[in-house]
Amino acid sequence: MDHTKILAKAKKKGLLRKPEEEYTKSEALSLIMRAGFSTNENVTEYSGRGVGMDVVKQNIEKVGGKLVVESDLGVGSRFVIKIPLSLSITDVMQVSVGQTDLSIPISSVKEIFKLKPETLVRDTEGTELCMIRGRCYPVIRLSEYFGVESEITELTDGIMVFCEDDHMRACLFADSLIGEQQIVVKPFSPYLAQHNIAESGLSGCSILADGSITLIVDVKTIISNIFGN
Amino acid sequence: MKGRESKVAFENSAENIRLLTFFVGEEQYCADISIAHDIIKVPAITYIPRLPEYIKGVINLRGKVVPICDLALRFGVEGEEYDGQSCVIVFSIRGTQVGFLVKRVGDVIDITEKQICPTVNERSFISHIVTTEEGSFVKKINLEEVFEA
Repeated sequence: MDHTKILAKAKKKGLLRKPEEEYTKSEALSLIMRAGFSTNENVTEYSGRGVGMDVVKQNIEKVGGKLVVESDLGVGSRFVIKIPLSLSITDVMQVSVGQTDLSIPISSVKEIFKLKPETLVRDTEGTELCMIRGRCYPVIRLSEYFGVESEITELTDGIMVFCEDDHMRACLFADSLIGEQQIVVKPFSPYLAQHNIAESGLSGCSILADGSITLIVDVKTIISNIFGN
Repeated sequence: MKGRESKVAFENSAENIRLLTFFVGEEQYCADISIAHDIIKVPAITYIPRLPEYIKGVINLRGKVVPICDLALRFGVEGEEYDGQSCVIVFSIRGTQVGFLVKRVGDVIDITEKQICPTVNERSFISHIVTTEEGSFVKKINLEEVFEA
């Protein structure tokens, strides 16, 4: 698919929400999933009304999934459908960061420990690294990543959660440990899915026994958001 | 429901539209009451980071996780203060429930088709202007557009 042509067509149809030049390639490609978008000049019995992809996307988002379009002109297109394990029971480690309650899937957690000051090193860019059995792993401060205010700023005061997901490893820094929980994962509402919540590193939420809501962290997305793939 | 309303006999026909009015900032807005699901007092809202400022977070509505959108911030009204009269109206939009935080709920009004007039811009948050019996204007919200990212 030619993303410049898609953009031009979307502009003609008045589907753009910001200046044309601000659209990235992937944003332009995702325009094909908007209601009313079609590059067909003629409406036939089956196509041309701009409904198909919109319905596909809406139905995937209804179950909390994601549809991503990748395409290279002249090479081919790939439609990636990501569907969450909805309503499944997961073991999580619950931590608190400021006022926010986060749950890290146990499957991603390798170790939980308090940082000893002598194991902390900084590289030239100021990235904090933590030494675990002779190897260095980056420290991700969850309060900074999520923009949540927290009183605990010293790495030695909080708790380190050493995580591994899809061969990526990092230490997530939280204020304190609440405990282990079994939770029922609920996908986020399509309203939040529209705001790219999955790309922000949250994969779902869950209602706890006291009625409060905990947010489930997607370790892999957080690490790749910070350090690239 | 007697008194003022009694002179307008309400018939549930195509020409009659029943609307729910509410306040955002100083302005009065309305929406189709048939898609209003709940009106509740502002509950404890669980903040979700890394989202636009107007999405306040999620609430637990009888076991369902419902996102909350602050309409004042969505419309760019700054410094809205919420008090005891403030509440959340939960609407069903495209099959999902979304709660909207408003300053206070107004009234339920019955209008006829003559009192409602569409606005020019389809992409606007306001789809129609409603003229009430008293002659004041109420803006009807295009919830589909508010729902969009």
